[in-house]
Amino acid sequence: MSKFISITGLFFGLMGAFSAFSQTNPLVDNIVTHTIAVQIPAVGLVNVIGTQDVNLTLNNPAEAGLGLSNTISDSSFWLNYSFIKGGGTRPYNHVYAKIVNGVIPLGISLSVYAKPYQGSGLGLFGTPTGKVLLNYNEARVVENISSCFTGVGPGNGHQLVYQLQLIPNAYHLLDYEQPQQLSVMYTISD
Amino acid sequence: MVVLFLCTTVAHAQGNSNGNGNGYAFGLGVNIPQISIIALRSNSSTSISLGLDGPAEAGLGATNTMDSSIWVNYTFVKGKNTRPKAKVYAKISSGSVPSGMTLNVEAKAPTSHGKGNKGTSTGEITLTSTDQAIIENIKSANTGKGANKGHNLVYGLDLSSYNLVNYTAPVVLTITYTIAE
Repeated sequence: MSKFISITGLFFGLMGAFSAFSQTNPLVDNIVTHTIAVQIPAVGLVNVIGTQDVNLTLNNPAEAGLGLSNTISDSSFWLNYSFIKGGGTRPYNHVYAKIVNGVIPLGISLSVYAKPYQGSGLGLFGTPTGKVLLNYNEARVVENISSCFTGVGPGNGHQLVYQLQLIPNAYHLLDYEQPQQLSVMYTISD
Repeated sequence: MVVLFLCTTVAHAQGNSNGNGNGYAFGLGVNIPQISIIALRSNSSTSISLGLDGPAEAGLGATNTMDSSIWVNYTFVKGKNTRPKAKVYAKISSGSVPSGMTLNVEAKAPTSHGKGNKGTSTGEITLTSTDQAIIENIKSANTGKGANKGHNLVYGLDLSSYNLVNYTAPVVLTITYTIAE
């Protein structure tokens, strides 16, 4: 009999020891961490979207004795860009255009201007500088671009308007054997 | 015999200290430990990255602003009077979110894995350096263990003040999750 009681005592003794252990050592591992790396690289990208090539032709006169039309325009291209500023190092960027290939025929000028921004982008977009004559030097077309993206494709960014115009008092220089293929390059930089 | 006798004494001593005055009644009680355990799990790594993936196309903005690869698992046992419910809190414990953006997180509703009264989402919060509840009303429950179990965490990097964004070296933020009353 005394042996039975002792074994029972062992059982409850162990239970007691276990429960005491549980109560004094709750299972707590209630904090956990992980990391997120936020990466913002320097970005400066520009693209011109639209018809692959555009033809600008001064219209024929309707009658003998009239001249060629003074101006012809095309607005089928859109300027898209993405830019991320560096706080102290490059707060703004600008878009420049220049002719990199071909020669503008004598007697006429080629100009471009950017219309104000429209589209689905975000940020602080640039301001058009107005009409600039295209030549072999970079001309600023859009200025003071801060961190932004214009959206992609026609309808996003700045619509570009090209104008072919007769130079006053230079009519005598026109030559119909002078069709020219021009390449215009756009650059985003500070 | 000496050992057995000592154990019996222990059992009685425990019983008395609980006010039962009866070692046998104490022995029948099953003690449920107080449990508060939380873990983050993913099929890959819980170290993630958000921001701009370059090179991007001209006209595009940030292309990597969402992540939903991390899952919260937890086990909690309530104390009816002392801690009837628990919440999961989140905060940024080191690092600062770069200017022009906020880091948001939402815990989705729990999956059907596990048992008990799992918590409910408080919706999307903007993370700061102060604890904010993202899951609440957790009673005794476990979510199951592993990715795709428990609550999916959906992170979003909000760049709505895009004009203020500067390029920077990668900024590493540590996010701390706590399960507590």
